[in-house]
Amino acid sequence: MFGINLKQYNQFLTINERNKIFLRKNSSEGRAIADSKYRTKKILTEAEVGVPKLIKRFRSWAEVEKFNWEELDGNFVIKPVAGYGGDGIIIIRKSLKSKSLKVESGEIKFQLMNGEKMTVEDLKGHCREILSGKYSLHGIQDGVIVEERIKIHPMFLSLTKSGTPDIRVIVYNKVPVMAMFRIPTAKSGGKANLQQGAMGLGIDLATGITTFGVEGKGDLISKIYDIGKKKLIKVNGIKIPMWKEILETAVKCQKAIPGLGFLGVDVVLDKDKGPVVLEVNARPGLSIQICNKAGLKYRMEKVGDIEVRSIDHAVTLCKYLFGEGFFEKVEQKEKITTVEPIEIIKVKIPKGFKPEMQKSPVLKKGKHRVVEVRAKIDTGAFRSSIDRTLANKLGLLSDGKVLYYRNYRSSLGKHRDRPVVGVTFWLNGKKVMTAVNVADRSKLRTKFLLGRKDLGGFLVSAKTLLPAGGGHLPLKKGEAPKLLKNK
Amino acid sequence: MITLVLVAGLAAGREIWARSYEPWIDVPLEQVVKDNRVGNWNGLNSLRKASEIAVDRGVGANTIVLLLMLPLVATVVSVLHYVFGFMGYGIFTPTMIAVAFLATGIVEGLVLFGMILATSLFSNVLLRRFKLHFWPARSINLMMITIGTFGLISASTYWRVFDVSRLSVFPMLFMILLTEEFVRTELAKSRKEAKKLMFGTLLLAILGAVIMDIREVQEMVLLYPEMFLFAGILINFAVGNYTGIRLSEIGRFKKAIRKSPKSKSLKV
Ligand SMILES: Nc1ncnc2c1ncn2[C@@H]1O[C@H](COP(=O)(O)OP(=O)(O)OP(=O)(O)O)[C@@H](O)[C@H]1O
Ligand SMILES: [Mg+2]
Repeated sequence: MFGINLKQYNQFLTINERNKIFLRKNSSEGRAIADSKYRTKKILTEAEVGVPKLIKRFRSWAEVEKFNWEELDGNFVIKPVAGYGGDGIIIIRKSLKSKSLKVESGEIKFQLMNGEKMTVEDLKGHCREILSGKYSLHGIQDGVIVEERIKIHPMFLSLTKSGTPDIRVIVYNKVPVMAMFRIPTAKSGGKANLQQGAMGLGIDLATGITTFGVEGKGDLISKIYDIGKKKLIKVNGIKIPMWKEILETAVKCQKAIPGLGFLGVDVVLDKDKGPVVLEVNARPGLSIQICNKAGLKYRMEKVGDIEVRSIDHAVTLCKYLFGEGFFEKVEQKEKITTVEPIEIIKVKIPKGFKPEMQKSPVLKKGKHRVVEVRAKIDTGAFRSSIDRTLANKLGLLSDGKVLYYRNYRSSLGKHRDRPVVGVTFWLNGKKVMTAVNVADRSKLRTKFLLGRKDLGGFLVSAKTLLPAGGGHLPLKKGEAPKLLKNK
Repeated sequence: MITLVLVAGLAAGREIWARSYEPWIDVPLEQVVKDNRVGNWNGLNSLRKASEIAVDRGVGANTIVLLLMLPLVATVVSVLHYVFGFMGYGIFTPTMIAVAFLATGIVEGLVLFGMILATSLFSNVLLRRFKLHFWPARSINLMMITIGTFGLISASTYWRVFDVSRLSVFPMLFMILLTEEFVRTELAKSRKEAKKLMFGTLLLAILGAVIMDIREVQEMVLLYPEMFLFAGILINFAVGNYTGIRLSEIGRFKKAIRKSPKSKSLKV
């Protein structure tokens, strides 16, 4: 239709579908918690998730009046409890009271992130506006919270001076499915909301390294300004510190609020405290798909019916299922390597596991231990697979490594569970983190089969596609339908 | 914006054309009812029968048409929103404005709305410095709008630009509601967002009004109200379960599609 391939759009979560999932997966109780930044804070604190310290909550004008504003020494944030999209948030950097000699109440000035100044009266006025519901969804009465300002993490100071960047992680069925790094700009008033004009960079879930970029609600960008280097740098290749902890925090939030099956968690990094959760969103925005150049729907379908056992399991799942792989070494020019029909790959042995290999020696690769394995390229298969015995010897069938079990019907009609495990390997020097089927390949010469999913960025030598022993045998006519049915 | 101008232009064109070239437009809708009697009540034609009786007792056929069309316009608005991605201030504001346009005429309606919006914005600027409470400030704003409307009425009686008889208080109130939404959004969000939604609302309203204004549609609704209602329910169920992509999202997600490297595998 209209010359576009609509099938390509199936991977995306659309507004219509998001709204349905929001209703189906998120209970009204869960939504109510997400809609109140105050209740979120309380529940997350109980669940021992880090949050910015609450300084004060106001529920009425009288409380705003009574509060001793002079005692605030800058570094605080005023927020509507039920606000959204970054509206109504004022971020105060410092108070300017020390400068003037005699300060009367109302004369104290506070400086915002962009240098703008506000008096105590201004702040009170803003609180009154929040209370009267100016920023709440239907103009209904709202509350105000005043909380500590989380300062810009030193690692990010080269990217922005205007405000604290945050990391939005979308969690579905307890698994992080997509993430983006949001950088405030002068235009966004120090807030990291895309609607306000902030920039968003997609993040590779496996490594915490940025991939693509978007500005505002939909303009792709490829460069951002590095204040330190005083020049434009690529949007990809920026490493987010404490990546694993960030993912764990996001999963913890979903555990703490069971009513939310689908949510976006806004995490900021505190220099001392580590990941700190600003808020959770029951109806996260969809632009995250643009800066990741990936579809949420496809990813959500993948984890939809996996029984997630633990936070560790959730993090492993997302790393192996959704890792980009080829963004690992972005600084290198993306050069295309050719692979031969049979390649030697180096498979990583999990930390602390003692492999029982007789023939192949355990080698070192950087800080990892690896074993060389002969792998056969098969572009006819989507996912790679590994022999069960080999997987066992390499410690890949241990509890932490099994991502999930795939139910399939064997050719004999019996139901079996075939494990899918997370494997890290190097192919021609390129690191690949991926989900691999465990299969019985004991009768075959190569114990590892490389599917096309893990061959992105490689040029497959044409020899490969000729049928080789043990590969996909040419089917006789009439045989195919039967096989298909058995799948 | 451009779309809005286009649609408004088209609508105006149609209206002018209709007024000058469709002689039968002068046949009142009541006559249509009178000329097509429905016969005996059989349960399935309840609405039709009821409207017939109402017209016989002197209720304006126009009123009945409007009443019956209200859900129809709302249906159109929701299809435009969920399937095409048009944005407006919810569903009722566009529907109400559509009805308002129908009463005043689209061009007249737009002029009236422009006047109300301008007055509103002007009074906001004026009142801002007094730092009044919100509601008193809105009352004063309303007064200014009233004065503005008087101005408009006198101006059009003088120059005979508009059919003053079509100006009534209800369309005006609907439009005031729309300006209020605009002002609120502008305050809480941004002028850009407010403008976007306002143009979206006007666009939806004009489309709705154009459909309602088609004489054939009006007659059909009057003669087969049950059918329209039933179709409306069907359409709304379909749209209500639609989880597919909105037309407007195609452009948005286009940027998110990765070009698969041609080198992935060699074709032999
Ligand atoms: N305590 C804080 N310290 C520093 N910056 C903050 C703090 N709270 C909020 N911000 C900034 O404001 C932005 C928006 O905050 P928050 O997510 O709480 O608001 P929101 O209106 O609910 O946004 P949305 O619903 O779109 O995610 C954050 O991304 C961050 O940049
Ligand atoms: Mg947020």
